[in-house]
Amino acid sequence: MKIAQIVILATLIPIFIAAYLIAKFVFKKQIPVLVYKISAGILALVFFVRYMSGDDLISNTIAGENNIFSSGAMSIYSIILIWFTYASILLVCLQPFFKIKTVNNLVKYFVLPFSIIATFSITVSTQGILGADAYIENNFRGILMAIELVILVPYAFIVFMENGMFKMSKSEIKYFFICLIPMLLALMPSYTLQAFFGLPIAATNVKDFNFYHRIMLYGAVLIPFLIHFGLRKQRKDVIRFALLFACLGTLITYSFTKKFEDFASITGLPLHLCNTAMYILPLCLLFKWDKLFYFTYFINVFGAFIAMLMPNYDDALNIFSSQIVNFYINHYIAFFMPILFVSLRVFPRPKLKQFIYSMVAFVIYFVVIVFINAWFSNYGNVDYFFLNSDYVADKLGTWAENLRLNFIWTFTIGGLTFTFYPLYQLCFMLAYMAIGLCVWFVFEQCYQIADLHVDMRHRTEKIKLDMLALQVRNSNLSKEELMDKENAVAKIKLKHFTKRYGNSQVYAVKDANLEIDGGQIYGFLGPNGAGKSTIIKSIVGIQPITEGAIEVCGYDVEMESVKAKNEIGFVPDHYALYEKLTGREYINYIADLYGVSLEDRNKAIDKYVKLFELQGAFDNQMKTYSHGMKQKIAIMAALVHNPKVWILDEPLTGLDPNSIFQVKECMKQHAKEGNIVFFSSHIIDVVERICDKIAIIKKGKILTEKSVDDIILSGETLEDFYMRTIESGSNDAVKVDIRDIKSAANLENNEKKHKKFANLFSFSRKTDLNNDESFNKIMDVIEKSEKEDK
Amino acid sequence: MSETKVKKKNQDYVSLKALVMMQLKNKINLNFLKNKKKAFLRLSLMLIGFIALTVAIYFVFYFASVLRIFSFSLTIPNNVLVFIFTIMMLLSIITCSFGLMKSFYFARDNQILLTFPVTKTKIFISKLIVYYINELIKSVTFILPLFIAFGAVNSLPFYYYPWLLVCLFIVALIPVALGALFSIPLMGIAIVLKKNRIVELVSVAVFIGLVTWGIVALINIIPEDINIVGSWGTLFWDIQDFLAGFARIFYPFTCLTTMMVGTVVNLSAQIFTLNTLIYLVSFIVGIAIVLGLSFLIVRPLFFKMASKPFEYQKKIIENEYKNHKLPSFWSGVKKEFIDIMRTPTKLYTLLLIAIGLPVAILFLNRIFSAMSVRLAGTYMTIAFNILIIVLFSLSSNSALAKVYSEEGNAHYLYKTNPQKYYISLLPKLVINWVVMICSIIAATLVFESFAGLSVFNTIMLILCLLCLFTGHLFWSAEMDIMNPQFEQYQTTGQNINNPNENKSILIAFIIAILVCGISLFLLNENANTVYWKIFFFSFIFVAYRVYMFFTKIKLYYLRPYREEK
Repeated sequence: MKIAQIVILATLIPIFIAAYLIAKFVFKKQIPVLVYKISAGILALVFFVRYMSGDDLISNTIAGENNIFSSGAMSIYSIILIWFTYASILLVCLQPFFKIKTVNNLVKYFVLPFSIIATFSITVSTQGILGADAYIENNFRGILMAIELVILVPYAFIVFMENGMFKMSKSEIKYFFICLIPMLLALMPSYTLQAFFGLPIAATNVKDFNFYHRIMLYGAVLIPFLIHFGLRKQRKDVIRFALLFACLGTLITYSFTKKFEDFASITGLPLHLCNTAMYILPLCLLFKWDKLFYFTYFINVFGAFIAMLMPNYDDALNIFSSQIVNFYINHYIAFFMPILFVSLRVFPRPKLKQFIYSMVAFVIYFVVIVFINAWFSNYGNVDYFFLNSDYVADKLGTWAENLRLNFIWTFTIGGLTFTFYPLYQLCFMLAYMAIGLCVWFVFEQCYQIADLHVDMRHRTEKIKLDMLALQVRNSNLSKEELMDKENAVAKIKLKHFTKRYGNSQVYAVKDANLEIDGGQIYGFLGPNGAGKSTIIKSIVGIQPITEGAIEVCGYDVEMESVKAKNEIGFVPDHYALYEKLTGREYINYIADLYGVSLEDRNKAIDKYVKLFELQGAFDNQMKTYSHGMKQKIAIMAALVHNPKVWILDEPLTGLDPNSIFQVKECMKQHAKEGNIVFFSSHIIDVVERICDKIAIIKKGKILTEKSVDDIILSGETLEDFYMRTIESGSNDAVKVDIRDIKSAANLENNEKKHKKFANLFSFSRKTDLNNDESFNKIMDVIEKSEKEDK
Repeated sequence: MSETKVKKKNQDYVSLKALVMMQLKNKINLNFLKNKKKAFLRLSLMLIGFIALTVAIYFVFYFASVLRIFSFSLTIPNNVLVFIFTIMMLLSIITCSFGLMKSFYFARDNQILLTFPVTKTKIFISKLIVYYINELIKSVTFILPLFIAFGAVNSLPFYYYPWLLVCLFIVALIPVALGALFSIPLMGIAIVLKKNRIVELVSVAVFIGLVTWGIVALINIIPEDINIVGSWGTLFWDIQDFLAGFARIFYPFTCLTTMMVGTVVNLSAQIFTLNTLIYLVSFIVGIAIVLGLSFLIVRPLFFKMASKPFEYQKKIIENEYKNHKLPSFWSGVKKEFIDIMRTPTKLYTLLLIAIGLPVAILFLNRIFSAMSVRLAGTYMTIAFNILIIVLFSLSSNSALAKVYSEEGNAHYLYKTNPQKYYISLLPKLVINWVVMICSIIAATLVFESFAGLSVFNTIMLILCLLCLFTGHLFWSAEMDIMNPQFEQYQTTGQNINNPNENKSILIAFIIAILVCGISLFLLNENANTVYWKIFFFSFIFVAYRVYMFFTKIKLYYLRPYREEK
């Protein structure tokens, strides 16, 4: 046997490698992918036949001791060889079907050196698997093991030669090790722990939520999180590869107890619900069988969850024993793999249709299993899906036991007795379907949480990107320019400002452009619902901007909101004060928010208290104030920090003539000091008398912007001009192009954006903004990004 | 009667009805009556509620009679009913007195009502009618089920039930009549307290102190070894003496009860006796006198107070106050402190919960410590203590699930002020946080004095409870920020069914149950390690909630995000 293996290895490996080298130098062409795929297929077939034909005899090793090797170290070495061989074979089998650099690197730097070592140690691994049979010359499993290495070594060598040999960047090295460890873990034979560490905790039952049981349950929650967060930003094919590798790898480990001979026995078929998941999941991934997938998604997940909570293994089993490890590998996969498939978007989130498919599939499965149980019971003890025994009924209580035993249907056909528990089994099926429905609800809740986090991440990154752009832009300014910005004169700039509320089909404001300089009182006119308050609320930061930009004194109200708001004093249309406070307490609170010094606030408060004649009432609670007094306090609060831009939204509504006069005087005085007074009003007479310039808005469009003097010089009153402008303006609201909304719902678009941001961040982290070259590079990226956005 | 007189009478009736309906709609949501489907649904629900309450009381009475708690026979004696009914009536009188005081003398709607083309007397009567209808509804909802259940358990004759309905009309009049009269001294006290803030604060502090002391003293009366079965003979007669004494002290209510349920003569219930007639006449006369007095004394006072404009009630402050500069955050905290101190409902609710929690734990542990329990019982006691502390403290956070929305229109300041988003948002949470933390620590120390925990375990438990409380506090506040209910508060100043408050309470309940369950499970495993384990879980919880709070509000406030095109 050993001789046969050595002959095969010694002849075929050099022949294949030589053939490759000759072909390479003669034809100077790359090996076609088909060759790789065929080799991988042959390797998979050989491995399948060899693996399924018998057990790994070394599996009964405990703490390195077995009846195969006399030395514990040799036992451990043999297990490692077997384990890594499985990992190498699976890697090679999948490698040609995915164009992933890390996988190539794993084949180059893991499979190649390992397979060479395995070739020289073939006697150890063969002995570990076959035991005494390793000495039988014509044992076909030993021959197949040699053939596996005959394919593995040249294959890995060719991949090594064809993929730049020793070329590997730092990040590739990092990914190599990050991927190698979980890949090896996925294929760790279930007997490894007991073979390496023995069974140190004698007779510990991993049940009843005891410490060891809980550790296994925590694993069921932690592992999917780790996989999800590790893969969520990867390419689709990388995700697919990783999940397929995990499914197939664990299937190999799980199949340690399910060999050909087990399939020949009617009692050992993998027909238990969670067992089926082990086969269904890789098949769904390979062939994209979505209908079948949703069956496992709605049915297996819950089944596995319950099975893990109430495991059916023996009490005496140790946490390191192969049975326990195998049980949890099986149930972990059945529990979290379907969820990961959906969370990583390999399969779309299910809708009602898919739920119905899964229920139909479950009914078929259930009926088949009920029938198989009844039929196979004639030949042995079968209990697939626990439908034939009282295992579940016993846990549910006497009522379930009675339900099962009081309604039995037995008949005989052709000497075979069929026994059914119709009512119990029907209730079982209906309950399980109802649970499937609950599972759907739970999944939906989880998706909502996940969506929330994804949305938060995207938005946080967008903010970071904007901050980065701002940082870059500011670092582009000279010191003088920065100083100028700090001492900027009063100015409001609306650049293509557009606002739409939520999913509304109508724009509240569309493409508004305005530029207002200091020293002006600017009137904003328009009928109700024209968009005046919308513009004002966007300037002061109450509402988000849909498109365009707004600048106040040179500061972008979105990106430099704190600085912009510092320059603004705002009087809302409905004054709102903390009425339990006194006027003084309120103004001091506002002054604290704006960081006004004690000296400045004393001056301002004295000035406005006198101006508004509030001396007697200023230290009373504001709930005792009249409407006019409250409005005056709101105006004081807006002016206490002496803002460069004073914005008032219909400030004169409800004020008495005396108060109106005082407010108007205040506005004039403020504008005289070089500041902007920007206000909306319906009272045209007042606007005509005090404003320097006006804008008229209707249905979200700024119809005109004109100096009041020009209007009067043209021989028209402001009222006539207003009426003429409003009547000539279109009455149609600006509607949203439906394509815009569709694109908002386009998830891929968001994904692209997200990736773009991610790239930009990773670039910015490595970039020194003080370095000119780096700075120019980042500017290019931002400009490119902005162009793409447009 | 001449035609003009009839017309005038009709007009009087119409205007009075309009006044009553207008005020009633403000007090009770009658919108459902507009829609037949909704009305049917609502009335069905009310009927189901009524039946459920009656059945529940019936079962309580039934079990009390079967267990012979109040009587040797299978009945419930009248004195038990007197006790329950009197408490209900006293509560009604207190509620009515305060309600009528506000309605007569301090209601803002007085200013509007006085402008209507109706006499002031009519406005006064309309206010009384509104309160009467309100009381009648309360009587039907709570008193009627009690008496029906009592009648069913004591097998009273069928005519008892229609008689009950008649009596209810009189019963509902009593709190309104007495409330109207009592509203006068209450108004006087309210005015004095309003004028003297310090007197109000001192009175409240003294009141709270006395109540707390009283409750603690009562709790300390609980014997150290409770053996109800062993001492039942003495206990039974103690209960009888207490009920008889109570009936003697509250004699008018005993008469009222007797008028409604009759007396037992030769082991059979007699509903109508001579006493019934005497009591009926006495009550009608008594109510008439009280109402007459109200009309004579309260009506002129009502006219006087209703005409007073609120905005000019302010006093001229002669002292010159100074301006103070504070860091923005502390300025916000100061503002919140002032707001809470000047809003009695907020202040008293907070104090009630903060003081109630350690007192409840004291009460609970006095009872538990008096019982002889096994190890499993001790573990259940610990878990139950944790449940109560968590439930109490977390429920107080429901007030924070509306804390930003409550500001209504004033909310714009959060977005327009030039501070980092959290500087103006966090102060709203500080006062609640500080007060409740003191309460939680006090409650845990009370619990510790009974459970005898080690210093390490006590610290771990306190940290665990603080983490749970803080996490839930941020969660509740976040709910309000992300799903604000401004509209309700802007228009009405309140939101009766705020979804965030409901959600906050539900989550508090779930967390409390979970923590209790986990604690019990871990206690059974290892009683020494349970506290750091639950602290570990609660730390993860608070870390996650704090992260979510700051991330979400950053996205919401820092820079309003653009809706994706």
